Amino acid sequence: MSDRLRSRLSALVTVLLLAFVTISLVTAEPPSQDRAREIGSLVRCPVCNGESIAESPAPLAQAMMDVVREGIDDGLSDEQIIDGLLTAYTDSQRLDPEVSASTLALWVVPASALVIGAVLIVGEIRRRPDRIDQPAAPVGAAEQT
Amino acid sequence: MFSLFGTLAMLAGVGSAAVLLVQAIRGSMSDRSAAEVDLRPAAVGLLGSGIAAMAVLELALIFDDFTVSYVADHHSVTTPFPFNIATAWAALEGSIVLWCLVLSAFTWFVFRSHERSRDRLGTGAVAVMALVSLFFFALMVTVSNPFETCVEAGARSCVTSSPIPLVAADAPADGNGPNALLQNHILMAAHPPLLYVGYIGLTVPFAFAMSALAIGLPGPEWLRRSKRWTTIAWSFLTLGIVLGGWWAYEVLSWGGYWAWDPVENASFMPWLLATAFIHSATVQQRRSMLQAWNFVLVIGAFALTILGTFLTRSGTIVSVHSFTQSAIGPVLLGFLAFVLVGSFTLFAIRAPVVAQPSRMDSLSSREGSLLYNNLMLTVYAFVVLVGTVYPMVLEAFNGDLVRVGPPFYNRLAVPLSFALLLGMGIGPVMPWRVARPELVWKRIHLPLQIALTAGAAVILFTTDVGLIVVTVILAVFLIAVSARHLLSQAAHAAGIKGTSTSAEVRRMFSMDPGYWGGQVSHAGVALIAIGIASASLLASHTQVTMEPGDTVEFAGYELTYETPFTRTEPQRTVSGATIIAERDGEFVTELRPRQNVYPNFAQPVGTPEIHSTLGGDLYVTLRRLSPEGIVVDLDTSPMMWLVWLGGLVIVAGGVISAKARGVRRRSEAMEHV
Repeated sequence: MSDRLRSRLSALVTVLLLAFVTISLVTAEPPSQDRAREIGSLVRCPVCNGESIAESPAPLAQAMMDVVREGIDDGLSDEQIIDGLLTAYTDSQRLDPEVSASTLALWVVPASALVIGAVLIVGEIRRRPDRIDQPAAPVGAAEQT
Repeated sequence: MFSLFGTLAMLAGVGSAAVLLVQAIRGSMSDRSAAEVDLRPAAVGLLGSGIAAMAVLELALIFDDFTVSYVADHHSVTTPFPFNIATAWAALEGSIVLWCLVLSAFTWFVFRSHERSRDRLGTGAVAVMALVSLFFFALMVTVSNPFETCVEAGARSCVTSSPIPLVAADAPADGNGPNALLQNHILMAAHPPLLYVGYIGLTVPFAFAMSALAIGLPGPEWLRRSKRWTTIAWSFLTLGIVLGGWWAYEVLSWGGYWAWDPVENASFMPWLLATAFIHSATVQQRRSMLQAWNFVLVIGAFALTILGTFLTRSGTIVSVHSFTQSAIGPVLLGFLAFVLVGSFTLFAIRAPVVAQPSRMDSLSSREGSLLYNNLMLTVYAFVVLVGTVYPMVLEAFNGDLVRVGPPFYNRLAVPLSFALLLGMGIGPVMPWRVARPELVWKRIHLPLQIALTAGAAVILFTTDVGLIVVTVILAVFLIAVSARHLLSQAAHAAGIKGTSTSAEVRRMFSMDPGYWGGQVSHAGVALIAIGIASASLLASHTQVTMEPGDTVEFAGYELTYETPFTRTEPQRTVSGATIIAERDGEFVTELRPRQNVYPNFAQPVGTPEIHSTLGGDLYVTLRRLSPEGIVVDLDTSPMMWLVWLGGLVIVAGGVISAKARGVRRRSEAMEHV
């Protein structure tokens, strides 16, 4: 088998595998989750050390989980259940903050770091556009520095 | 008596640190003074003080000397070995004693390296270490004194204490003992010291960086020493974090190991920046680039350790890790401000000599991939930093209570982790300067096929949960790329020289331990990624109520509740349930999940029972115990052991890399064939 044929075959195998994986993942059913636990993991247990009510063994957290299960049985949406919980238990909070003016920084700061960093890195290259397409410099001795 | 000895040790520490600081500053003024200065007496004094303070505290605990305020407040005659020893770092003041001990030991090591090099850089580094030591010993004497004498005892604690030894002492007959959570598992004795060694070890690269800036001598030397010490500290930090996760898994009753708790974050942020530094230091060593950025990373990692101490000890956060509130918070915050302002001012003054003329040829190169890695790690650190600190800032400013919990972090951490895994796969086989696409493709196409085949196999035989499949593909790709690279180079060299491939592999590891140790650590990260993905996404959970004799089926097991039991130990009462686990009628194991009631603590502390197999863990937590029956949580953590194994592999890679001292790269030319 010639090298050329082999490399084409190799590329074909890669593409086929990639296609199989991609199609399987796109068409996969979303995993069934324990909905009460999902909702509970978004609400902070008021009497614990920073745990969610889904994790905490505290009686109050267990009682709040019962409220979550009742809400699910009554056909409420996730948001309705959480809002109801936060109204009933005023010491509790969301563990997943909502986007608002005062919480915007939580997303803006990392995003700015990403953008600024990327701009700095790209800027480092663009200063020398003449070098980009240059073939690989001699390797070996020159790289020992 | 122990109060007196402890106080003397602390004061000797302050004195030694001050003398060492002055001598080392004077020594760093010129090459000649650096060669002549004798720092040994002060360095010995500092190390001796650190050891003595810890020894006195341990003896006071072992001999139940309740006239020492720390012992009265945190010890009990019933506290068994080894928890009586571990009590020395289980509460705020004692943790500062451990801090001073570790810091004085690191100062000693920096002093030893100064004795070998006898240059201004090393002498200046000793001065920085002495300055930080002075701060922490002074902290111990003033706002965090464990050796105060109890002058008015309460029933089980000390009500009033005096910093002056030999005053008329009063002592409670017995104390409360350490926090119940902390005396429930043996890992609690090991996790904090290891974490501290890693955490405090990051002071050393900071010391070399500050010394280089102060002297105005940037260049390869500070970087070489800083990188080596960072690798050592990073290895301990990694081990400490992994053991912390393991402790949480064994004790905290929720089957979890990482909760994005602010204090876990406090250990993770310096880890991220130290990791970034280890990578970007390579770019400076090889390509004379990024020196300014390397200074920023080293300063940032150290500042984050101080921030972490502040978060843990200021009472601003509530978590299983936090100590009680004290005056130490504002002092630590002040020190943090001093560190940041001081180091960045120095950095700004020296900016002209720090800048390097060298530029990057192409993004598609090893240095390009390392920059990508640095960007991802830094953004990751920003995510964790803002999530941890911003709620406190917000509360301080307008009283808004916002909690940032696991859902927030997971949403951002998952894509960042994937981006990092991808970078770890391709980056290490990209040549320096400019990578030709054909060469990179040659190095990755076979591993890519292996990885995609593994992904397809997971879909066909296990699960089609997307996050798991993608994790497996990226993790297998990373390991396969590295393994192919190692084996093909070793086989190539063996073919030329007529040696064996395995001999060439050994030679490559010893020639370039930094690179190959790094590859080992990458493989550990890949294992952890698969472990986390399967343990969190393939887990099943249920809560059942059982009466004696009841049987439930869960995850392929038949679980039968036999009997409740209770036993009394000196320091606690243990109640639990005996559950027999069978599989297809065959006896597998006996599970005994328990609740431990410590007399002086309101909440019982659970001891979940974990049955580990290669396929994963069965995790049984006792929620309620009454004569009529029990409520138990049943969880599975598939492939959980991969997380612990991966953690140890990462550390092993760090240990291999730390040997890199003095090894000059001669194998690199081969790497680009």
